[in-house]
Amino acid sequence: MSKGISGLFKGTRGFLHALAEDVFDRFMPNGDKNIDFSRLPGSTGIQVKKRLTDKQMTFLTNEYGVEFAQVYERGPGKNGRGGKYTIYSGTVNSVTIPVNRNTVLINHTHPGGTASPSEKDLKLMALIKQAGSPQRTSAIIPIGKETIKFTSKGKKR
Amino acid sequence: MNISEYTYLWTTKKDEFVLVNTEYGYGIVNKKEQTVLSISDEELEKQLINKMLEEGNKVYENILDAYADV
Repeated sequence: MSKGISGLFKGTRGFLHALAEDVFDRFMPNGDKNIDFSRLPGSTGIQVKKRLTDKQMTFLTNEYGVEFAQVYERGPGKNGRGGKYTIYSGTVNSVTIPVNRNTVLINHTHPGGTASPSEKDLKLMALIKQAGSPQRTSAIIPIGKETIKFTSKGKKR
Repeated sequence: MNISEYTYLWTTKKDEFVLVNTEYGYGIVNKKEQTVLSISDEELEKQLINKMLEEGNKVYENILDAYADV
């Protein structure tokens, strides 16, 4: 689908409204509004205009069955304002994430529902710190459970 | 669990994919794209890292050293 075109899914999958290339509002029959994409972002990523909510990230993972990650690239403004949000998707077992001094991993989903940071999550935070990013805390959205925050030392109490 | 879909790490893209050491072990990093390949299956990740070491992929102590060596 291209920008400017809206359309109906069959059955109960909702109504689409294009926001930008590859990005749609998806209006669900139960009244929820989710963000959806015309293609999986993959490691290339798809930029979104504003930060997705935990609920929107959960929707994407439930819809496609893979891990999604939300990254903020710090902008030139004070405290990194004026940057951009990009959504990445992986496979069931992996995701590729940009890591440099300007990137902040806002959150990522755990499709299997694991409600704690794994060693790979801690490793990722350690690499983010090595790269010079000011980020020290990130979040995991375990599907079906409450979001948790973590640092490179583990789950934040 | 099949490492065959990741053979590019130590074959066609061997020059790009490196290992970077952290207090939690090695991370798989694409030093050209400045990205990290985060594998959630710990056993699969161990196999991939061991294979990369076996095949001679470069190893760095810090991600910035890897990024500078492009």
